[in-house]
Amino acid sequence: MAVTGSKAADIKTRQRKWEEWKRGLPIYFMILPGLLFFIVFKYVPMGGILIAFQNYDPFDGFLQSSWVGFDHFQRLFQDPDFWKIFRNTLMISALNLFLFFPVPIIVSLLLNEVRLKWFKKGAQTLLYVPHFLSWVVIVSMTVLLFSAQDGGINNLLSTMGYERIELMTNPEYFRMVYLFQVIWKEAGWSAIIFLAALASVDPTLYEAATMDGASRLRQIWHINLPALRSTIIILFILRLGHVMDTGFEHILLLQNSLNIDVSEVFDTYVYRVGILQAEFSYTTAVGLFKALIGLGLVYLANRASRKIGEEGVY
Amino acid sequence: MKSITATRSFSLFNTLVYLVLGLLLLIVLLPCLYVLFSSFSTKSEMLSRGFYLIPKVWTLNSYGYLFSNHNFTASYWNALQITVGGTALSISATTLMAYGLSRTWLRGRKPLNFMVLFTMLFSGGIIPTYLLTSQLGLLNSYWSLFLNNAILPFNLIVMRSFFQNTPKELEEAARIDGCGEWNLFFRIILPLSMTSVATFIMFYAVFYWNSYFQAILFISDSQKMPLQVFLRQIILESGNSLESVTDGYEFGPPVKMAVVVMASIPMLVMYPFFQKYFDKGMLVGSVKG
Amino acid sequence: MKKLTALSLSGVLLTTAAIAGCAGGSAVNKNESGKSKAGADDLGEKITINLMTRSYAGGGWPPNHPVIDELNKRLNIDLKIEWVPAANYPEKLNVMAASNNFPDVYYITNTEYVKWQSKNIFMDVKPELSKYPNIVKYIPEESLKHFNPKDKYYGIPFYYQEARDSLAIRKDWLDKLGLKVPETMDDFYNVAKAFATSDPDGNGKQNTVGFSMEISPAGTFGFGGPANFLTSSFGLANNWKLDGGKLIPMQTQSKELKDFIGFMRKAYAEGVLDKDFPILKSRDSLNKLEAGKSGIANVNPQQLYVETLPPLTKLDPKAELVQVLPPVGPTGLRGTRGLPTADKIVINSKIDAKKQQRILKLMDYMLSDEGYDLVKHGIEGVHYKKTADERYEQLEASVKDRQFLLVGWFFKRFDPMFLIYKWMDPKETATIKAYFDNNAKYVTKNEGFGFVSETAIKVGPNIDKKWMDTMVKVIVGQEPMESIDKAIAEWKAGGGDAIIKEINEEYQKSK
Repeated sequence: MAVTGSKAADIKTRQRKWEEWKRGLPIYFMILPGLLFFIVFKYVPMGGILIAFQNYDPFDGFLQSSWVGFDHFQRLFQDPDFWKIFRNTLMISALNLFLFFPVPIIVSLLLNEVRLKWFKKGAQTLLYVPHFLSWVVIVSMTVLLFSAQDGGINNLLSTMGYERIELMTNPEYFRMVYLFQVIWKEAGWSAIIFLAALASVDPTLYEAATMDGASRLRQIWHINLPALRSTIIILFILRLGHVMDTGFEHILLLQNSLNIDVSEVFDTYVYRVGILQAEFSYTTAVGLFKALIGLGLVYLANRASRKIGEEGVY
Repeated sequence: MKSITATRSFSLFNTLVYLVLGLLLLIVLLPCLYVLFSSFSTKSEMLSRGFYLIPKVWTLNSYGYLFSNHNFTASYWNALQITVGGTALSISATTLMAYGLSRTWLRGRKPLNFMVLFTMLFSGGIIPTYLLTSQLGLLNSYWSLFLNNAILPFNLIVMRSFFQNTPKELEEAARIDGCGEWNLFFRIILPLSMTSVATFIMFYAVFYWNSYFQAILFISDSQKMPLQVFLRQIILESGNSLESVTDGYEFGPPVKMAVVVMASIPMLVMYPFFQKYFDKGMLVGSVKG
Repeated sequence: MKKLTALSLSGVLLTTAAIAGCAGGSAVNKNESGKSKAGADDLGEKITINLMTRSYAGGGWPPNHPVIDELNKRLNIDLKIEWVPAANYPEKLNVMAASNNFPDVYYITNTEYVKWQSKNIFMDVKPELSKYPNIVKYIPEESLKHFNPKDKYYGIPFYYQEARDSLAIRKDWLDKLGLKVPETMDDFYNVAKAFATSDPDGNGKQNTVGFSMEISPAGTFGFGGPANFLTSSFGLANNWKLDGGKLIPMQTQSKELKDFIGFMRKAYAEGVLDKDFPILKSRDSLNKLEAGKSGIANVNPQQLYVETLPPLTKLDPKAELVQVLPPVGPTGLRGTRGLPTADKIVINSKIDAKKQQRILKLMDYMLSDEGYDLVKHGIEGVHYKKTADERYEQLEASVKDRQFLLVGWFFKRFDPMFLIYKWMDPKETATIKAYFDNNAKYVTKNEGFGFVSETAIKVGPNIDKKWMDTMVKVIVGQEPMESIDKAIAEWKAGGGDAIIKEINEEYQKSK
């Protein structure tokens, strides 16, 4: 503190910087364990991405495996089905982003309006249960209800004189079934984050709003949604990063010869061509391609979120 | 006049809320009940009857089978250990780092945030991860699971944004009182952020509870496998039934349902303990008031 | 439980017949030789053996399992078993390869076995086999040769029953409708049609299917489901077929395909073929039989009395199943697609010779009469007991211990009856044996089996799957019959031609 205003400006800024570093010291200590984790367990193995440019052979290791440049990427882009798979993946992602994503928000807002304590708790718990059922169980229950031959609902329809719905095999229904199952399984679970964000709303705001005669809908609009705003934006951006990931197990279970033209996505393609054949280089190349697209979208979305005054994810 | 219309729209609003939620609950509840009740049925009833709720013949055979299977009981206990240990470690590391990165004035914050985000999109894959784990001597130990998953970037990023939303006034007041950064965190911010801590304890617990793949890769002692490994072996048909040799047991549908029920119970029991943290304005209100 | 405690009723003769069946028909006199061999060799030093194999539903044994203890005692070893879930087995093998850290002896999937042969990590067991008479005796030489270079045996085959499943039909339904067990393809179609439309279960509802089948993810017409028994009747190859000294794949048999697909297409259109078949997986068509929803399905004879019949008879006490031989096709052809053994058990080449020999000794012992009896039936007095002369009774511990896991999941004789125990009802055992004997008569061999094509490894799964998708679309009538030729052309262009070339080269080399 001995040096004061009479010195040059750059010394001043240097000193301010130093002060900031010093002030941050305890914080850096807090970050340190996590930082070490990311470096050791995430960045050290990341060298493995290089096998996308090799013909990786587990016995030769990373150093001895032969380099093939962009061969694997070429193979991917030249696959006659590439554009079909790309389109299918984007379509499913779009469903996830625009139709699934709002559902947990709505569910959390609805739950937030429930005044009966027992109902609220019961509803929350129940909506959370499906998250623990495996896709196998969910898909087989859907078959039980909707299979063309003797699905429960189809039997009901046919006794009432309606046509049976070929829900599982008609490609037109595939995306709808997928979306509905995702909502069924994950909406309650995903609502938890929004419920947590809503818990931080100051109750006095509601009191004030009620005194002003604001209706419940207006309160949601003016108090709850703004409280959720930054969470929504962050989750949306993170989801964009995974735009090429569509949940491989789920889709594989729903996939069959008749809906393959809409159900084949990168994850199922890679599983069959890469993973089952232990083609690590090809698998890694496709993964890298997917991640780059995700990164590009996250970058754009992050810039957009800064424009509207939010911080975004980084 | 005004108050009457207010009540009317109020009750209309309420009716709507309950109606929509009630419908949602019904759609969720029925299939879940099917899973529960069919775990008490016989194989032939499940195969032949389609969708039903109340079994004609009740039996505890499926549960009897599970509890007599050594691997089930052992893996259940293992999964509990992995979940408790992993969650404790992860929530500590995540909370500290998330808080640190939420301090907007911190130098070097942006590159650190980006570094975290980057790992969400890019990863080295299973082989380098395995080699690293093996080199660190973690194979066949639960530390391989804990350390490889100490922080999930998603949880870290969302938690960071939660910390950023805590009221600044408190922080400033505390700082004026001469409170150090660690004191500020432990005495003031942390108690205020119990909602978010509770949320991510749940997220981590469920993550560890549901994980299986890394255990298969890293753990060689079959006695140390977690429950999900056992569960998946029962509920997933093997790719080629010619290779799978079962035995006189009915690994039929009811056993599948029973293992799904048993695997959900700890997570369902846990939930109510965390629910109170989601009550509206619970903490902020109490501090301010 | 009744079955477990049931005594064999028919005494000495039938039981010995059953045991003879298990041992591939030549159990006589081998008891002593197996025993003396194990004792004669130098077992002085205690050796630890790490073994890894696949596990399925229910998981593996705890380390202190009585059968392990017994093997340890008899061979002076310390056997440590790692049971890896089958679904993730290839990944496990690959990470082990990356760290070059394999167990002493392990099960290996065919893909990896073929890829890694040149890596010098598998012990060549060929020079050693003369010392191990039981391996020589119970593992056919032809099978040892598969997927191996000339004069080397880098592994010992893991046995699958080549023709395990058999077509079975509801006898009580046939009787009710006044029909006979189908012999020809036309009979088969008529019976299936009657099952679908004439209410064979008599519940007044049209809720039964004629026949059902699955499409395997690998792009064949199901490993379960009657399609296994129908393709040969139309002359379709079991994957590869020898024609004029050249191997041709099923995927390109245009005429035969049209006959077969045409048949299926008609069956689908007339409601004889299950409308759900495109979404069925692994054992679903058998589930339909067990649920009384279909009257024709593939059964696994070994599990007929433990898995298939109990739920069925619970549902309908009159239910009765009989075997159907593959129906005779329009040109007199018939057959069951055989699935020979492709996976192997390998011994680590890096461990010391003494340990390698002890492992071979262990494997030899597991095939000997004494050893096979131990790993299959467990320990007398623990897992079963002798109640009277040559009669056996299963004990409770056998259910809990699942004493057969090493046989089921690791290593066994080439013996289709490997899960048929000496305490089982001799009448049932005889029925099962009859099933297998009949199956063996009609095996359609895959004549390209054991040859490796680089292209097939790379693109095979993808083009096979696409080809199959088109076949399914034709069957359900979404695409016209002409699409078959288009699918063949696409298959060939997508890599099929290269596969045909490579496989034929391999075949020429082998001659």
